[in-house]
Amino acid sequence: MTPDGGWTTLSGSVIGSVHQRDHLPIQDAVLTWNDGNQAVLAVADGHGHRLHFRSDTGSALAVVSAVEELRRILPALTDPRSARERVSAAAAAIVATWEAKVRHHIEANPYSQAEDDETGASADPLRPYGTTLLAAAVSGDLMVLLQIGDGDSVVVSRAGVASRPLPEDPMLDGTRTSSLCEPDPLSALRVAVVDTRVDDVALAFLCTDGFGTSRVDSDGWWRQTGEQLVEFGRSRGLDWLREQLPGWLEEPAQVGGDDTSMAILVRTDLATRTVPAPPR
Amino acid sequence: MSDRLGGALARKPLHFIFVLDVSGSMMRGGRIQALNNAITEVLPHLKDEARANPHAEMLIRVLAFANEPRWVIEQPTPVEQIHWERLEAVPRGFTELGSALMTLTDALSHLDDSSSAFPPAIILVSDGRPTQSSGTTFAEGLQALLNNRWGATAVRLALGVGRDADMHSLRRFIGDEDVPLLRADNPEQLVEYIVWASKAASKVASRPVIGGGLNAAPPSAVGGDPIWSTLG
Repeated sequence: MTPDGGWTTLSGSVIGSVHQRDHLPIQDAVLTWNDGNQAVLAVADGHGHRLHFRSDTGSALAVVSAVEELRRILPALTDPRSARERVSAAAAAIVATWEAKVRHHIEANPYSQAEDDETGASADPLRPYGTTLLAAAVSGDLMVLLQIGDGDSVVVSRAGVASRPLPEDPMLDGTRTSSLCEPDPLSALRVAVVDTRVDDVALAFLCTDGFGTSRVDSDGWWRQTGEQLVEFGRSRGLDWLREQLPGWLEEPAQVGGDDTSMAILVRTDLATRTVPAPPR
Repeated sequence: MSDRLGGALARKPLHFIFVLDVSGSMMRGGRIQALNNAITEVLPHLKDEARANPHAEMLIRVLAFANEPRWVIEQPTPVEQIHWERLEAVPRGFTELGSALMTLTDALSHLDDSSSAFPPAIILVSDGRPTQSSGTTFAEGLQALLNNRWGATAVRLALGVGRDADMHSLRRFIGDEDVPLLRADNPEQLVEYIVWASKAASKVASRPVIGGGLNAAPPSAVGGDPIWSTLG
């Protein structure tokens, strides 16, 4: 067996048609980092309605906080047995970092009297920045994922079989989401540890809910997406994937109306490794 | 394999439901005529809203109630296909709002249980105090509605007609203290308020964001004499 290749990242973010119509800024944010062997990626979906009127900033601070804190734990991601504890600790650090950045932003940009009168922002100062967060990190063969709120985190094997390694969040019903701006966001934290060699992982992708909610196949779109990404990456290469990604995000952002973002963590040797034989 | 990542896309349905009082008191002072006119007037606005929200498939239903609830438009119908047939008030008809909310809840329970729809928008128009001759109280009907996932998350607006409208019950139906509760005292106001409520509800319900938040200011200083309050 040849050694597995390193990792690279692809990402994109497209404003939703309703936000364009209403002259609102994009509320999603995405950020990635990689050095070839290690990689970190994060996407966040600011809530966007009037009580969360700074959620574009909130989501941007969320992905910065996530990439910062997950990069710190990369050197220690060596043992699957301790990885869960480390990613949970990183999540706590992300929440603390995000809150500190938000408070710093408020200091520099205090709420106006009108904002206070209309939304009561000062009484619940984090609320205007409300956002979800999905993040993943990989170091060598060990991948960790964490999520607070809606969106999808999907891992795909070299055979194109997709799985969602995170547990369900019972608070998500399509009309509500857990959020970093809640009093105890860590109560909604979901984490997973994936040994990429054991599970033969070719890629993982994180996307905001704008990508999936308008799919006709509301139960199976993420499996199809995973299978397609592996197939396209293998047959047409990662550069082609990178070129196509904005167009793939544009259509759901137009039809569904919501901002749509995706970040992909993919093996650099996906296009060159032979396809595994199907199980007999 | 198709080059479209993730498969086909479709607009999400936005169910828009009018719940209209056709009790006997609606025969007074031309209220039922004004209600018919208001619905006729609101349809072009809803068509505009549908065009302005290409990501949502706006589907209309209408439930009338007096002694019992009756679907005027039972099947969710695209607004472009609505042909309004004028409603008649029921002579000496009661205001069985509790039963109407039960029927509404039953319809909502048949909606897609996945997250592939916007929260419904429900607009209630009534000119009287809810009765319970059918045995179902307003409180029971409202509780059933709120126990339903879609009923609880719906954008709920209400309009009172004339001074006998039970504004307390209508406020309980709305639930959210921040959402305006309006009372129309003449036909011009009824038209204006229904148009406002329909546009506001469709805007809020069709936003692809978590949570509600109706922040459109209601119309103010609509002209006309308060004939429905002085006529009683």
